[in-house]
Amino acid sequence: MFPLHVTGIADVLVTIVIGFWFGFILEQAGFGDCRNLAAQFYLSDMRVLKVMFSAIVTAMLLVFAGSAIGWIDFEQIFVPPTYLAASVAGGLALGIGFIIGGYCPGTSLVSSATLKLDGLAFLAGVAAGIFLFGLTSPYVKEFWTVTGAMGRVTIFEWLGLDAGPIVLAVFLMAVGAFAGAEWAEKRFPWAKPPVPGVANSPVVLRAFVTAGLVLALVAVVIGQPDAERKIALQKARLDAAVQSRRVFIDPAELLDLMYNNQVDRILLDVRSESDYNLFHLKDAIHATIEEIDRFWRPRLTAEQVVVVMSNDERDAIEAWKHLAVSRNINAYILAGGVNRWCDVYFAGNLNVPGPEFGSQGDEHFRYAEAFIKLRQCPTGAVPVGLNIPGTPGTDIDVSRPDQKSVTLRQFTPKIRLLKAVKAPGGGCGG
Amino acid sequence: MANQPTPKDQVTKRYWNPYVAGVSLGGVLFLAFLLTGSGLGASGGIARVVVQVVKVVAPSTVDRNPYFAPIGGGFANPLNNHIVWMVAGVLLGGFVSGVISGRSRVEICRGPRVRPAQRLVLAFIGGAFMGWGAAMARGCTSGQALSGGAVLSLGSWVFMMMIFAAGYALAYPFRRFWL
Repeated sequence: MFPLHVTGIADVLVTIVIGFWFGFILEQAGFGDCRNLAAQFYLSDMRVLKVMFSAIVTAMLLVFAGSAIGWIDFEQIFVPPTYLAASVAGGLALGIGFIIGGYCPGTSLVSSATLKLDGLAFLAGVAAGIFLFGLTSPYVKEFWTVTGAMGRVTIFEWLGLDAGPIVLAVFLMAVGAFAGAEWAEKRFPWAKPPVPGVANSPVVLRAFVTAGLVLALVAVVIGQPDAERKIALQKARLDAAVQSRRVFIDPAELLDLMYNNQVDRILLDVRSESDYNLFHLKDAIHATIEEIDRFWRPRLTAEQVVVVMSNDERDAIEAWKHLAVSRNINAYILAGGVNRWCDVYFAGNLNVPGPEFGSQGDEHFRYAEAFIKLRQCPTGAVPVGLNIPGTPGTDIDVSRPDQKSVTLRQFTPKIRLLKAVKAPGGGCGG
Repeated sequence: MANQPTPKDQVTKRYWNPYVAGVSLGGVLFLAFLLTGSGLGASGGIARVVVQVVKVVAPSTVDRNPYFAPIGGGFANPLNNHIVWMVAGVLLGGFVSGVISGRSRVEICRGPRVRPAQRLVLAFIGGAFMGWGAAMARGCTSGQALSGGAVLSLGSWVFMMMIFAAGYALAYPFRRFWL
């Protein structure tokens, strides 16, 4: 599945080649000459709008159609985080710079590469402006990083829609803008650049619009994959992780994790609310599959270690899949679930099977009656039946036994910290 | 008054059709997404060169500055980054394209009423606004508008609208620069 996230020397070569074509096409389109670029603002030559919007729309259609059919994992595509205040201020500054200087950073590179001295002067100005921003950055820090910061958010997410309708709307808007541009160029001949471009070929343009419409409709009709479809698309990987028991951890390892303050840990309990209220591990948070899809999966980061638990394993496995479908979530499953946890730390049975052995239980909380009875005799007494050797008469908190209890049981640590698979940032922020 | 073509302009080959160029550029952008997960960019690479220069001249400034430090503070090499290689490629591609089309020559492109020296000053000033704005917005027309716009990032579209708004608003007041 795409994106491929090439690394190392392949990344360097791929990026240089992509940059090469970027610069080549910009120059071939005439963007190395400020007169061509400035003419945009006098409506006599609209090539900036035509090139920019057809590029944006082409890539947009391919990305979202590709995502709809399951070839591209959109979660892995870099979406620049939104900082509204900074975008407004920066955008206005860029507009001012554009009308005064006639270039933008990318085109000034191309202009400099074709030996235009004004391009070089502009480039020097860009460097100076960046340096100036750096010098003033301590004073604008809050404005730059906090005001209007919304994180990674797309237009369709902000509107609560699927990507498809927005893709179609943007496509249609662009086609309308192109029609307007053709009209404007004929109407406002003031700043016509000296060298013309290749004329429009109706055949080619019709082909583009048709292809674009098809892709837009694919995105609208098929729609972006929801959690269930994403799980189906990654079935092989997810099933392999579950079959190999690689993601199941022993109760003792979880207890060890609960005392490890160096790791940001989240415990998600997907049992029924009544079971959860009767007993849950200390600091475990109740979560439904829907909450996992809507709240947890978008917010969890690669630095956090997540452990999912149910009474046995069946429900936890399903919930785990809803998390593991994102490659930047480090999620595990409590082997044997809360039942096995209570076998060890409530009933004192230290010889329960290790995490290699699953539990075929049907998600019934075997200790429900015991905890109900405990609640009825709130004397803080040791739970009946508990007899952990070496700790006679101690008050055991089953929700998080004493740290010494960790050593009562051997386990092979399986939790590994995850290195986030991140797409390199595109602009100055990355 | 339209720009009069000079004899040098007659020699230049025709530019690509803008729609063809745009769709091709979109294809390259898409390829970038497929292979690396992120799009194109330019200002980020320039910023890293700036940080590298400052690092050589005054390294403590880099370390203590909230904007420079994440880019190149401490032991980090600001030039060892995806966006820098991209910029290298852009320079190369622009250069080759200019050479094969006969557009590679030392000259100053300017509006008809602007003298060459004036043009250089204006270009520098325009660039300074652009550089400041690109650092503020965490990207420029390539990284934010083009690449962020293609993936429908909310901030990128707001940014793009602002660029055009400011440019068009100032077009008439600044018409002496171009017309």
